[in-house]
Amino acid sequence: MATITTTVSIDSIDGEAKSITGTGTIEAMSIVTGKQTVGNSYETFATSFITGNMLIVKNTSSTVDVSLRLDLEEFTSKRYVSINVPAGQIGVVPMLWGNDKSSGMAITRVADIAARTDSGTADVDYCIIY
Amino acid sequence: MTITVTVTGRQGGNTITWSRTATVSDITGAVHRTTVASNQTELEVAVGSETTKGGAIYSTGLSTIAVINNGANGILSVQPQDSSGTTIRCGVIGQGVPFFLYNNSGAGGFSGGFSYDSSNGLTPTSDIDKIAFVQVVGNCPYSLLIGTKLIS
Repeated sequence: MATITTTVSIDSIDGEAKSITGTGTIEAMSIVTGKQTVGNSYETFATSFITGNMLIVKNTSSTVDVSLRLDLEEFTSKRYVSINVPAGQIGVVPMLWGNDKSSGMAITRVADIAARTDSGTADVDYCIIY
Repeated sequence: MTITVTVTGRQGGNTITWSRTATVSDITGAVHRTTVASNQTELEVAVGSETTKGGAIYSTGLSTIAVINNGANGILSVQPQDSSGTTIRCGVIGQGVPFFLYNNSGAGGFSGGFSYDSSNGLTPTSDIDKIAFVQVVGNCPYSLLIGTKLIS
């Protein structure tokens, strides 16, 4: 089992702090952590993620954004989603994705993840929960 | 705005802890709510509204969306839409799991927060105009904190 704890806060908006918190327990056999340097063309990210349950990343660059490209090839027509993890920010990629908001949502797994920058390189810390 | 995510688990008799903190600067406004996702709950994010600061008029834009599924057994889908109403493929999160999305000024290279396409060369070029939260399974109370910032 893995436990994920999240706290998000905004201080002093009109003198009032606001925050949200959450804790969840995820079925897991292992946790793998590492770091990958991302360049400006798509390359497979965290190769061992394919069988994972969740990927959490932190873009440690202070100036360069990172695009995470998710391959949702199990839909009838091949689709990709690109998510921006801006410089210095944290991203979470769940393994399951839906096709749209309508009823009868089809759910598929992320088949692969690739990452790139717009230009330059960025070091990305990652944690994979299997 | 400060975001901290910590993962802990035991592996081979050892405790593993991975924790990271990130700060989003220049946040000037917040949308904060804790509610229960219905079959389709849709929130329109205030993009393009105006505010004043120091006598000047600025536009405010969505900067960061943070959502946590607080349901004990529920599964929640998070469905961002761009200004055309197009919904990208949506993340599906279980109990206690967070999800973050960022609109972007392009300062770090990419001009948007997300994209979806049939092309594998896509990069994030669309920003989020609306976001919907839909229960997939069970009861899904969720916590939402959106940070907005001045964009002009």
